[in-house]
Amino acid sequence: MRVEYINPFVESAHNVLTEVLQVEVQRGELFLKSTASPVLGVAAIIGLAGDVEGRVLLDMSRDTAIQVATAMLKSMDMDAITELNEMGRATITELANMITGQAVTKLHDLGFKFDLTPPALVTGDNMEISNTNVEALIVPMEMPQGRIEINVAIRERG
Amino acid sequence: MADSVGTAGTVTRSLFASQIEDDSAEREEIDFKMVTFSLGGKDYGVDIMRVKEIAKFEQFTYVPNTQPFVSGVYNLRGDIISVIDLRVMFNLPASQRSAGDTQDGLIIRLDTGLIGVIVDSIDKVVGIASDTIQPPHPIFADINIRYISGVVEHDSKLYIILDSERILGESADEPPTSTGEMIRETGGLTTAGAPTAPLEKMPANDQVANIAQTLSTLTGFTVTDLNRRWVERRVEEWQRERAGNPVTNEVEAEEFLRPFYSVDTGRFWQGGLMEGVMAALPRNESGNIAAWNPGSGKGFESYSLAVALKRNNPEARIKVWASDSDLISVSTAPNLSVDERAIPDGYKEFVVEGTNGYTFSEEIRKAILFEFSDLANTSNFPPSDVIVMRDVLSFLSEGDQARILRTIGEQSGPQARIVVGDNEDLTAMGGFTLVSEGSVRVYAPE
Repeated sequence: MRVEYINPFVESAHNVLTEVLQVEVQRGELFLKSTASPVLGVAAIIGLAGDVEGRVLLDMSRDTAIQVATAMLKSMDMDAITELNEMGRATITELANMITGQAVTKLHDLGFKFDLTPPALVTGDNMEISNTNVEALIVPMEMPQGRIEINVAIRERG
Repeated sequence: MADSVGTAGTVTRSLFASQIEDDSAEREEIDFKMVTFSLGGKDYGVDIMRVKEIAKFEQFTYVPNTQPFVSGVYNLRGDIISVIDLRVMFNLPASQRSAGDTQDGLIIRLDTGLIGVIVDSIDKVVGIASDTIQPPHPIFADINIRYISGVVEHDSKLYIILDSERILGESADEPPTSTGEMIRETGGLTTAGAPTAPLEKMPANDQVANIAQTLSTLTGFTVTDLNRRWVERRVEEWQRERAGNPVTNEVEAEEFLRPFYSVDTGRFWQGGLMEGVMAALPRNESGNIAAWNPGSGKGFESYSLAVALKRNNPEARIKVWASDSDLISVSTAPNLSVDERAIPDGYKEFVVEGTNGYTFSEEIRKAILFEFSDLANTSNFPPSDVIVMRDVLSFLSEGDQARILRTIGEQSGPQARIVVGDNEDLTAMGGFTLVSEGSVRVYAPE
């Protein structure tokens, strides 16, 4: 993945998570992964198009998703959730939208123009995601609610 | 050949020893290698065939309700592995560390998968003859004797060889294996010591295989046909310089590999190389030229390549795809700025003075696209007229080398030009021919 794209995603993931959860978020070491990678249980996916093609995946366990959604809902004086109901799913989807949106805005300021597709949420056990021929950059974020992996696979249009 | 026989005394002797088929003869062949480390002040070893890599652990994730020796789980580039602390497991004293410190350890291959092991510190790789391994004796038993597969003396130090499968594997209730059994189990390079070792297997080859194994564990360097000739020469030279001592630690491995690296590694291409590349590369005055430069490091090579292409073809549209798997290096590459003295003459028209030294002109910088990418993961490459990958393939596994070369062969026609490291030979890998030889060798797909 092009190096200029890395920082915007790392920064926006960190900013957004810190802001919405009001906790200390620690970034793990970035690494690359080949295309077929297991999904932790709940994945919000957003497609990218424009000068590039690819997608951003926000990947976390079901427990983490519930806790993160609860923290976000509580900060808006709404009720906690105990299972991943419609409100929970909408909340996680919105989180993915905020992170990717902020990253794409930063990239736009640097002169790269992408479009986003609306996010989709995928849940289930033992899932794997594979993009043919694109390597994924994994940005792990650790917080008290658990671990979220931001999985970014972007390829330049030839 | 005369040279190698004359200087490598131990080599000649062991050849004779195996020829007279005398089992009781003293053999000094190194057919068992172990990675040594210390635990509670004593020296231990574990079979190198079991060691995937040497690791520095930081930031474990604590797992509740486990045995006290389980330090937690660790994310090894995406694979989650369990990590145990051998000192806790064996009730040995552990030095206190502050919270942020990294811990030395090993990643061990078990039949059931990978596991991380924390030790006090990693020492080096030691090669020994397997028949010098003694069965364990209860007197050494800081550690339960069933976990010890043997004891060996080397360089006046006593090493206790641990049986990793027995300690860490699941089959913990079988009777302990004897030393002999363990050596047979490890397979691989121990053939030299076995009675069935073929006579034509020259000890000189064993020396190469021996060093190859150490290099791959310590540095990721893989010996294949691509670099075998260089390695063989270097092993001979090394034996001469070091009086037959093998490569044992990372410092020595780097020292061994130092002459491998091509001219102008880590700096801009100087006059000779620059002229050589320019003479060999295609001319395409007004069209498009695409180049691929994996293993670009800090970017010196990619900028040199872009300048070479630009000087050759001032009017052409040039695109250089550069990539590296080292995030820190490749992140600094797009904004590389250097001191004026580091810039060779032919580059002057392509640099501009900035606040922190000289940077490349917009034209050159726009021509290069730096990517954070690991060749071991990628299966498709930009279609390229020019491929520069010096000293890159040798650090990939044999399978990856073959896969990448096959893809290059499929994707590019005979007009493509490929530059590999000075000590790498593409013709030995098949499918490529040498098209020009001078200050730099250039290949083309067949």
